[in-house]
Amino acid sequence: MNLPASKRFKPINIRTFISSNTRIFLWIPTLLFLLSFFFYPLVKILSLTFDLSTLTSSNNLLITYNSLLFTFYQAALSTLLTFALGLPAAILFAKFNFRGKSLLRALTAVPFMLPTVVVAAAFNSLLGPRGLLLNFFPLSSFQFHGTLTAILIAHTFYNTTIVIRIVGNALSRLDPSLEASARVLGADSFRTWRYIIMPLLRPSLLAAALLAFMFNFTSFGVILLLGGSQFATLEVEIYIRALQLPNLNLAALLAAVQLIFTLIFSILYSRTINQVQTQTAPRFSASRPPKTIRERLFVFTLSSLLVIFFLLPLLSLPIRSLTRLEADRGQREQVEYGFTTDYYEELFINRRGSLFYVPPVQAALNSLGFAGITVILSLALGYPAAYALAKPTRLEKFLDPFLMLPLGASAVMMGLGFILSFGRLIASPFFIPIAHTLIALPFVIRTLQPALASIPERLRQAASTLGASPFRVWQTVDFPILARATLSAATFAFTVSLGEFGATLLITRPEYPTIPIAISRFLSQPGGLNYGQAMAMATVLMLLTTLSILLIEKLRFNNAGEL
Amino acid sequence: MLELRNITKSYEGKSLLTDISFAVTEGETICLLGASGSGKSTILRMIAGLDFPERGAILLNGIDLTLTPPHLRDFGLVFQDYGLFPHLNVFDNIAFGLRMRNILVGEISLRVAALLEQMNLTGFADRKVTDLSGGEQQRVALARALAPSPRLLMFDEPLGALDRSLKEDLLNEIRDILHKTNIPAIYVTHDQEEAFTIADRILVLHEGAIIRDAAPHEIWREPKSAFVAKLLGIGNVVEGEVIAADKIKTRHGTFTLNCSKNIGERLHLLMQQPSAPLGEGRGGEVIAQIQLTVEDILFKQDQFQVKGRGGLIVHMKNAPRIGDVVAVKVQVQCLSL
Repeated sequence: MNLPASKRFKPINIRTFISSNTRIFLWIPTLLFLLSFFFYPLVKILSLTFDLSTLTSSNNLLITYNSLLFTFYQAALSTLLTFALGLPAAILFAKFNFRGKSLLRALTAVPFMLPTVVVAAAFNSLLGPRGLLLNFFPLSSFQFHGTLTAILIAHTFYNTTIVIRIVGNALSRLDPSLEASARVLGADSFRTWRYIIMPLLRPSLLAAALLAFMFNFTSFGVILLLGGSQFATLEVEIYIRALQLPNLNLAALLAAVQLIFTLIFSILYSRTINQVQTQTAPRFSASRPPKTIRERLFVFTLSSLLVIFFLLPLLSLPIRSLTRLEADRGQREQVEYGFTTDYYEELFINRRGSLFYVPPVQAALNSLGFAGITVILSLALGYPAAYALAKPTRLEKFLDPFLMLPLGASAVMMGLGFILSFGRLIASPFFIPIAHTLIALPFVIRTLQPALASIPERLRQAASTLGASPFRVWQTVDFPILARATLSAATFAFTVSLGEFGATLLITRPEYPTIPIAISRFLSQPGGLNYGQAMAMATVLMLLTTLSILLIEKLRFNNAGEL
Repeated sequence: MLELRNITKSYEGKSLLTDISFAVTEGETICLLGASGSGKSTILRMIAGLDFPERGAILLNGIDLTLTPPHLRDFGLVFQDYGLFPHLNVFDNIAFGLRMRNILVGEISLRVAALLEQMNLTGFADRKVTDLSGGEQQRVALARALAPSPRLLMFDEPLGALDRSLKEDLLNEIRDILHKTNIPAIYVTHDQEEAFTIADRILVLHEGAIIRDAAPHEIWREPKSAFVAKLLGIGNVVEGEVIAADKIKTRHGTFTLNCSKNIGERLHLLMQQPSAPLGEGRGGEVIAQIQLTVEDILFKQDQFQVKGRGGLIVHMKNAPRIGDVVAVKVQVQCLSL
C-alpha cells in the first residue's frame, strides 16, 4: 500500500486529545453527587412505591387519591385567585406609567424569594390569633389561621409576581400597532381583546398558569404553618407519613405520584414558555400615563390594593416583633404593653428550663454553618459542570437536563428519599447542607454557565494583542465577568440554604435546628414570648433574604436565572 | 373631505403641535413631511381616533369626529412595521376589517381574492404572515387597509423598513392604487423622494406648525425657507449679509437682490442651477455668474457633481479638474431663516 504520508500516520492533536478526555473529569464530581444523593434516593422511593404491599393496600390508595384530589383543588383555587389579582396587575404594569411603578413592581416580586416560614410568620403576625389585626379589632368571628383562605391568600402573595412577569412582559411586548390596526379596521375594544390580544397572550397565560399551579401543587411550608396538617396535600401527607404516623410505603407512593405530576407540569411549562419567547419580539414598551378618569381610577385603586396586599404582611412582621401585646408566659408582675426589644434580646439568652432546649443563637449559627457549606459545595460542584456546559459536546447536551432534574422534585420528597436511603446515617448534620446543595445546584449552574459561555475568545485575543500577558488576560477579561456570576450564584445558594424548610424538617434532628425550623417550633409553642421570638427570628431572616435578593438583582448577569 | 381645524397637542408637558389646520379633498394625496419627533404620526393617530387633540376639531364632510370611536370612523391606516396580526394567515388578516363589519362570508372571499390579485399576492391566502418578506408583508397590510373600502387612507412611514429598490416598486403601486380608487390619502414620511413621488400636495411640519403647504413642483421652485430647502435637499443654501438695500454679500460673491431686509441683517440665499422645470422670470430671483474653485468631482450617471470651495455643489456635463476655476450660472433667491 502506498498511502500519502499524512494518511499513514494519523496525526493526533495532543491538546484536543487530552482536553476531550479530561472533560469527562469535569463531570465526575457532579454526576457522582447527583447519583448518590438524588438518583439513588429516587430509586429507593420508586422501588418502595412499586412494592406489592404498597399498591395492594386500599388504605394507601385511598389516602393518596384523596390527598391528590385535595392538592389539585387547593392548587386550582390558588391559581385562580392568583390570576384574579395578577392579571389586572399585569395590565397595570404593562400599560400604564405612574409614580412609584418600578418600586411597586419590585415589591410584588419580593415574596417570591422569601422563605416559606417568613411568609407564614408575616401573615400570622398580621391576621393570626396573636396578630396585629385581631389585637386592634377583636372580631370574635374572624378566623384566618388554620383556614383554607389563609393558604390561598399566602399562595397568591407568593405567585402574583409570576403572572405579572410572564403575562405582563408578553403584554408590554405586544406591538402597539396591532391594537391600533384592529381598532382602525373596525373592531371595538372588546373585539380587539377577543380576537387579537387574547389569542396572542394565550401562551403566556398558559405558561403563567402552569408555573403558578406547579408551585401551588408542591407548596409545603405555607400549608403546614398557616393551614395546619389537617390540610393534607400530597406534600403534607408525605411529611405526616414519614415522621408523625410512619408509613414509609405510603409516603413513597405519595412522593411518586407527586413526582409524576410535577414532571408533567414542567414539561408542559417548558413547551409553552418557548412559544412565549418566540412569538413576541422585544420592543419598546408601550406604557403611558393613565388619561381618562376610568384609567386613573383603575391605576389608583389597583396600585393601592397591591401596596396594601404586599406591604402590610411584610411590615406587620417587624412591627409585631417589636411590640408586646400580651403578658409573657409565666410573667406575673405588671406588664408593659407597647414597644419592646425583649424578643430580640431573648434570642441570645439560653434559659435553663426553657421548653426549648437549643437556644435560638445556636440555630442561627447552625443555619450559617449549613449555608456556608452549601455555598462551597454547590460552587465546587457547579463550576466544573457549568464550565463543561459553556461549550457542550453532544453528550454533554444530553446530560444537561439530568442536572436540572432536581428542580422538578419537591424538597419534602428529597427529605423522604434521604430517610429511605440513608436511614440512621441522617442523624449526621452533614446531610442538611447536602440536601440544600441539591436544591441550589441547578440555579448555581444556570447562573455560572451563561457567564462562562459569554466570555468571547476574541476579547481574550484582543487583550493579548494589546500586550496583556496570559495572567493579565485572565485578570482583566475573565475575572470581572466570573466574579459577578460567582458572587451571584454563591448568594443564591446561601439564600436557599438559609430559608429551606421542607427537606430540613424531614431530615433534621432536634439538636441541630436551623432558623426556619426554630421559627416553626416557636410558632407552635404557647406563650407570648415564644411567639415574639418567632417574629424576631423571622424578621431577621426576612432582612437577610431581602438583602441577598437585592445583591443578586444588582449582580444579575444579562438575563441569567430569569424565570 | 377631511378637515383639521386648529389642532393643538402636547406631549409630556411639551407642546408638540400648535394650531394645525389643513384639509384633504376627494381623491387627493397629501404628504406630511417632517423630521422624526415632529408630531406627524400623532396627527395620523388623532385622525384615526387613537389619540385626542387638546384643542381643535377633526371633521369629515363637515361632521365633527371627536365622539366617533376609531372602529366607527371607516379609515385605513398602514404602519411602518405593518401591524399584521401574527396569529392570523394572509387571508384572515385581509378579511379582518370585513368581518368586523359583519359582511357575508361569500362576499368576503370574493373581495379578498380580488385584493390578493391586485396586490400580486395570488396564492398567498393560506401563508403565515410571519413567513413573508418585508415587501410582501407591506402588500398584505395595504390590502387589509383597502379591503373595507375606507373613506380615507393613512400611511405612517409605510416604506421605512424596506430597501431601496423595493421601496420604489411599492411606492409606484401605492400611487396606482390611490389614483384608481380615488380614495383621499395622507402619507407621512421623512423621506423627500417618497414625498415628491406620491404627493399631490406636500405639507412640511416643523416645530409643531405647518411651515409650507404647496404642490411638489412649487416647493421645489420656491422652498421659501432655509429649513425646507435643506430638508428637501433643494439647491445650495448659502448664508449672506445685507450690505446695501439690494446688495447681498456671500462667500461666493455679492448679488444684486432685494430681500426686503435691513442693512447688516444676516439671511439665507438659495442657489440653484437654472433648469427647464424651474422656469425663469418668476420674479424675486436673479441669475448670476459665479466663479468656483473645484475641490471634488463625483461621477453621477449622466453628469458630474462638482463640489466647489465653500461647499457649493453644482452639476456639469463635462468634468473639470480639481483646482480649476470654473464659471457657473446660478439662480439666486431669498429664503427666510
